[in-house]
Amino acid sequence: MNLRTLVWRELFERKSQMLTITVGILLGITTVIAIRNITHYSEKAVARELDSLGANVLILPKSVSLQDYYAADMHEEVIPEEYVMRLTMSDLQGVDNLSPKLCVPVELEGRNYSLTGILPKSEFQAKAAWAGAGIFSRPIGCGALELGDEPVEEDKKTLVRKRVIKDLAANEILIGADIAAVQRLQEGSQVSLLGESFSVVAVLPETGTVDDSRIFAHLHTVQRLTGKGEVVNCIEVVGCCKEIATGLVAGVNKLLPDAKVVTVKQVVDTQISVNRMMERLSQIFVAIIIVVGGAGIANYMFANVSERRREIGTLMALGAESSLIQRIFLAKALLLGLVGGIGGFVIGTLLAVTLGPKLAGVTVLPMPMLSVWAIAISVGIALLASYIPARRAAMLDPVATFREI
Amino acid sequence: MYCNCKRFYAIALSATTLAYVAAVVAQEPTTPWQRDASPGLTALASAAEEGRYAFVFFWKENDEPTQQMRGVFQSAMKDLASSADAVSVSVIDPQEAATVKVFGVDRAPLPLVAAVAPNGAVTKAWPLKFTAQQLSEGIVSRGTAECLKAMQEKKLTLLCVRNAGTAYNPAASTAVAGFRADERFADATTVVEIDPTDSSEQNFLASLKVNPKTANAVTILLSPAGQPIAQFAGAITTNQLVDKVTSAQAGCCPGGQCGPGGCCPGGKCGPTK
Repeated sequence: MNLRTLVWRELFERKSQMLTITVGILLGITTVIAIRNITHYSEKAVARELDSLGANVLILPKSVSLQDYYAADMHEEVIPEEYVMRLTMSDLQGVDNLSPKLCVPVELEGRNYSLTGILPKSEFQAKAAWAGAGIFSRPIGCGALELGDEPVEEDKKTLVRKRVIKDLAANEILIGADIAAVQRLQEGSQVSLLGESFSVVAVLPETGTVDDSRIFAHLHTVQRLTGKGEVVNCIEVVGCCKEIATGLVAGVNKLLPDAKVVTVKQVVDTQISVNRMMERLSQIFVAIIIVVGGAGIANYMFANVSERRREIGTLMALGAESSLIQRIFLAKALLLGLVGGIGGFVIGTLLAVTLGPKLAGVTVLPMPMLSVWAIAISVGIALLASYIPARRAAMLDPVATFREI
Repeated sequence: MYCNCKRFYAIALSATTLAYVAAVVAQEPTTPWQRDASPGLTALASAAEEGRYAFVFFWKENDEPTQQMRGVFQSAMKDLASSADAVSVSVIDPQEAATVKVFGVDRAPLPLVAAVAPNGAVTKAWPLKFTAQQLSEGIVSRGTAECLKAMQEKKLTLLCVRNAGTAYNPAASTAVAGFRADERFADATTVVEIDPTDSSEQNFLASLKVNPKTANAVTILLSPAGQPIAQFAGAITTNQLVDKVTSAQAGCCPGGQCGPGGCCPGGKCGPTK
């Protein structure tokens, strides 16, 4: 009878207890892995968002919370589209690039996506000159010069970075990378949405954000097809930092008192605080696993050693050394830890990949590095908690155990 | 001999008539508006032909705010009657569809007043609420109206501030002509000339921070968004103008976008595509 056989038999000696302990460790590790995985990709999405949007401004309905917007920016609350022209015609500096949006759910080939109506710049750009002669006293802006009739055709894929598009026809759509991959769509493909046929003019590059699952169409087309009227869910203002710093938000607040005006930095700060909370939550779970899991394993092992004193004594009387006895119990703990760690990593990753897009609005991918962390924590706890019971088993006097018979 | 004289007089009369007609046609004011497309555009065309401003009151429902603002509008127009015509356009009137389309106000906040210069430029618009004093700000100088017109056509403006007394006029003229000859900018550029001593242009010059007593010709590049790109006093070259425009086109933070640390954090712009 070798060590492997002994450990195997030992494992299944008290099946129900063994199963309870394993499931306990597994659930703990699963939770921590899922939280850490989602938090990691959420933080990455926030960083990308911050990089691409900088200190821009969001104009939302008063009742919409930042979390609602950040999660999916799909909410029932709306603001009038005429706010776009109010902003454009105002003497505010830094509202040259506006992106009004109306998001509605749409089904395509049995899958649900977000159909986002956007207003191309050509629809309102000229109105900026209606602000009057005061426009000429503005300082040199930080945007690059765009000449009106540049012959170069616009690269519509820059929408994901610039947030603003110059032109978009009523029957044209832009699609996110995920939709293109799942639906096998490419530029030139025809898509039927809400009973109308659209031509795909661009497949947007992957961003790792909710934009990957969006279909962008002309705002007025989306309004017409959904019967929503002349409304939008939000207006993104892609402004310059210095203009935002010099009172753009206050100016927009004054101009649109019935709307909520926030900077993307505020949104990002909110998301960062949510991520921090998740991080702390995962740390609490780790602590719980260590304390509860460790105590459970230790208790299980102590009970195990205590119940099997005779068998241990018999083994030792037959010549088994103390180190072998210790190794049996530690190997058992190692196996429990490995099962809990590997299982927890696999289930936690599956949960994160499945629930991440729904909970945090981000695409979550497996993180192999977390497997090392999960196994190390799980095995570490199991070994540490089992060390003293294993030592006690190894130190048993076989004669004393026979006397107990 | 008699017959020859008669023929001579007939030819002379015909030539005179033709010359008169040609002169009249040449002097006939042009209008940027399609005269018979709608009652609103007809009124705008008439105002433009007479060199007058038109203040267009766009409205949708005759509700209380609209009635209140119509009162302010009518009161202001009495004061501006010497230089401007009042035009009222209901955006839901099918007859005014062409006017609504031209101005793109079908989704605008209403009521809305737009001040329109004789050259067709909207010199200022006031949505929802305005005062009579504000409406009077809609009448601007010729130079301002021309620059606003260029903006509304999404064109780059080369504003030349000079007169017979300013130095470096030929150099500035040559540079501007060279710039306009460049096929990259020719179609997207409008040249506007103003006299720094013209009293009507003083506010415009002040907004551009140009000294009306300047001794040198001043050339200003205005972007299609209305912001100054560069200002040159004295001698300039075409290359200087081209350099300024090309560097602005490739400038930081395309589209006015900026990073978390400000425009172009660390002095480096991210990839544009």
